[in-house]
Amino acid sequence: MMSSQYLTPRAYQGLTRLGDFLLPGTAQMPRFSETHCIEHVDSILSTTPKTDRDDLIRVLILVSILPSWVINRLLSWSGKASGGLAASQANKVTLWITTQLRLFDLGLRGVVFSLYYSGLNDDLTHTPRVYHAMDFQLHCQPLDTDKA
Amino acid sequence: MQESYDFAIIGSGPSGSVLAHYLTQAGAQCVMLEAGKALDKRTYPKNELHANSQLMWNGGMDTSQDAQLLFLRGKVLGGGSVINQCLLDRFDALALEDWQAKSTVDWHQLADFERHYNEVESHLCLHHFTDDEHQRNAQLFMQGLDQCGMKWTRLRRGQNNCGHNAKTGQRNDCMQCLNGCVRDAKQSMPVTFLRKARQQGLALLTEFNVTQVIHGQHFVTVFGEQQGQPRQIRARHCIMAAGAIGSTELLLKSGFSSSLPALGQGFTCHPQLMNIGLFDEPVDAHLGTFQSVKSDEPQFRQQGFKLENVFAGPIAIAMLKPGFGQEHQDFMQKYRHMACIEVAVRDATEGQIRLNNKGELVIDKRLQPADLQRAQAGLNAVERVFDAVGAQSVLKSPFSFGLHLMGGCTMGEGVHNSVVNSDFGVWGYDRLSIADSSIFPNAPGINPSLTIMAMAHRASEVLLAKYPCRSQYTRHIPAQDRSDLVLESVTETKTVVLKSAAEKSTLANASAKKMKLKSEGNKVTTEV
Repeated sequence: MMSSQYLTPRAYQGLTRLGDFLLPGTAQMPRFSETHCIEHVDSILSTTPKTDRDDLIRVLILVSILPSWVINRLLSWSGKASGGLAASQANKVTLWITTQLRLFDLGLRGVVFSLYYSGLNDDLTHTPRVYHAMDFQLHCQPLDTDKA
Repeated sequence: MQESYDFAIIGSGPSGSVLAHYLTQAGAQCVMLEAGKALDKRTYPKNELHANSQLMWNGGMDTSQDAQLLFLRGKVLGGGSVINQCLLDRFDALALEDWQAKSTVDWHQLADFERHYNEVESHLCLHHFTDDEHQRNAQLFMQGLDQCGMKWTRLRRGQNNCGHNAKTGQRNDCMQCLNGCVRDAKQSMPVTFLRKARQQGLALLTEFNVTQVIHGQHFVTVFGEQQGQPRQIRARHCIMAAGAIGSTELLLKSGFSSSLPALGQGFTCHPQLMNIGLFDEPVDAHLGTFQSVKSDEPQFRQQGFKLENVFAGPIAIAMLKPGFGQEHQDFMQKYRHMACIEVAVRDATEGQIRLNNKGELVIDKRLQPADLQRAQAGLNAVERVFDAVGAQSVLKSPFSFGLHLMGGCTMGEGVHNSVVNSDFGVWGYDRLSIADSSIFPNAPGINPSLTIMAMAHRASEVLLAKYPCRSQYTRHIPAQDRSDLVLESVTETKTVVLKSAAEKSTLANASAKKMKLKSEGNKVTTEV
C-alpha cells in the first residue's frame, strides 16, 4: 500500500520499479520491493529541497512508463559519467550533460540505496533480509548511568 | 520586545561553541542560533538513513556544481562535531607557513597558535590509540604501510570512555558515533564547550533558520524564522560561525558581496576518496575503534595528500560502488570482507561559493589537473598498500566527499583579496566577525577541527578586548547570586556600573540615558 505525502501514486510506482531494477535480488539478498523499505521514503524527501524533490518526482513518473531497455541505457550512461574522477570539462555543453548524468545517477541510486541499505523494515524473522544477509550490525552500549 | 544581547553567535559547531564558552565565562550575554535540532545521546538517530536526513544539510546530498564532489555538513546542535570522528590534530609548520604566505597575517605561525591549542585542549579528553585498540582494518593498513616502507602514526581523538577493554573483549562500535555518540564519549561540542556555555547562561535558540544579517551603526539585527515563526535578534556584535558554506551563503544572501569582492572566493574541502580492498577473510571494518591510524610519510605531505584507515555504513559504501543489479548486491554482501583506506587530498586549486540568478547556492568546486595529480598519487599508494597485504581486488572511489569545508570568507590584509582582517572583523563592518573555517586562507591538509577551536579562542580574546564590559542585556542570575550582581552597561557616551540589586532603581530612573530596567524574578532585562 502506498504511503507518501510527497510522491504521487505514479511516482511511487516508478520508485518501486526503479528499486527492483537496481536491486533485483540474489540468492541471499532480497529484491527491493520485498523489503518494504519504500515506506520510509518520506524520511528522505522531507529534507530534500523542493526543487530537487520536484525533479525527482518527474523522473520517477518517467521511469514508471519507460520501457526497461531505455531505463537500462539511461542508468548505464549516468553510471559511466559517475564512474571515475576526471578533470572538470571545459566545454560548457559537455559539462552540462555530464553533470546532469551524474546528478541522475546520484539522485536515483541515492534514494534507492539509502532506503534498501538502511535496514529499515529489515525484519529478521523473515528470510533472508538485507542486514541479515550482510551479517551487519552495530553495537554501542550507553553508559549504565543513562539507563536510570 | 525585541531580544537584545551582547553577542549573537550563528552556528553551534566547534567555532560557535568555543566562542560561546569564553564569552559567557567573561560575563557577556550571548545568544546562539542553530538551524538544526537539539538532539542528544538519547535522541540521536540510530539508523544511517535517519542520520543523513536529520543531522545534515539537505540530507547529506549537497553537491558541487559539476556533481563530482559531495559535501557533508552538520545541521544539528553541535554542528559538524556531532557527525565527525573528532580527530584533533594541531597544524604543522608547513600548513601555517602556507597560510601566512597567502594571508600575510603575522600571527599565522606555530608559536602564536601554541597558546590557543594548549587552552582549548585543556577542556578536552584527548586519546592516543594504543596497539591493543586497533581493529583489523587498521592492522591491515599498518601492515601494508610497513611492507611498503611508508611511515604511519596513531591518530589522536577526542574521546572519554568509549568502553573498549582488550582484556575482557568488551568493545563498542565507534562508527555509530557518526550518527552522534550515544555514550557522550566523543568530545563533541554539546558535551564540552557548549555544555559549559549553557551552564554560564548562554541563550540557545535551535531550529532557528537565519535568513539575513543587517549591520547597523549601533547594533546588528539577525532576521530568521524559528519553527515557522519570524524572529529578530539584536546584538551589539554578531559572530558568524556557521561553517564555510553556511557563513558565506548567509553573507551573500544578506547582500554583502557588493562591498566584499572576495566573498565566496578561496573555497577548499580536502577532497576525500574512499577506496575499498576486498579480502578473503572478514575484516569487520565497521566494528570497534573504527579509525585509529594515518600515514605519516613526509613524501605524502609534500605531494599533497595523506592516507587514513576509515570506513562507512552500508548506504555510503553502496554509493561508492558504481553500477547496479545483482553484481552490485553481490559486492555489498561482502561488506564484512571490505577494508578501506581513504586518500585525503590537500586542495591545489580553490573553488567559489556564489548564488545563481534565482538566489540559490552554487558551490563551484572543480577538480583540476593539479588536484587529480595529487589524488592519483594517493590512489597509487593505496593500491600498493592493499597489494602488499593480499587484497583480492581494489575498488577506487568514483567520486569524492568534502568533509573539511574551508574558505569563502578568507582572512587577509586587504578588502580586495579577503573578507576578514587579522582580528576576525569583516572589512568595513565593525560589529560583524567571522571565526569559523570559512576564514582559512587555504587548505592545510590537516583535520581542521582543533584549529577552528583554537582560532575561536583567539577571536574571543579579541572581542573581549573590544568590548571589555559586562553585559547590559538579559541575564539569568541564580537567586543566591542576585545580591552580588555586578552588571556593567555601556551606552554611547558612558559606562554605568550596577553593583547591587539596590542600585537597579537608580539606573531605572536614568531616563536621560533612555534605558529601562525591569526585574522579573531572577531575570534582569534592560532595553536601550
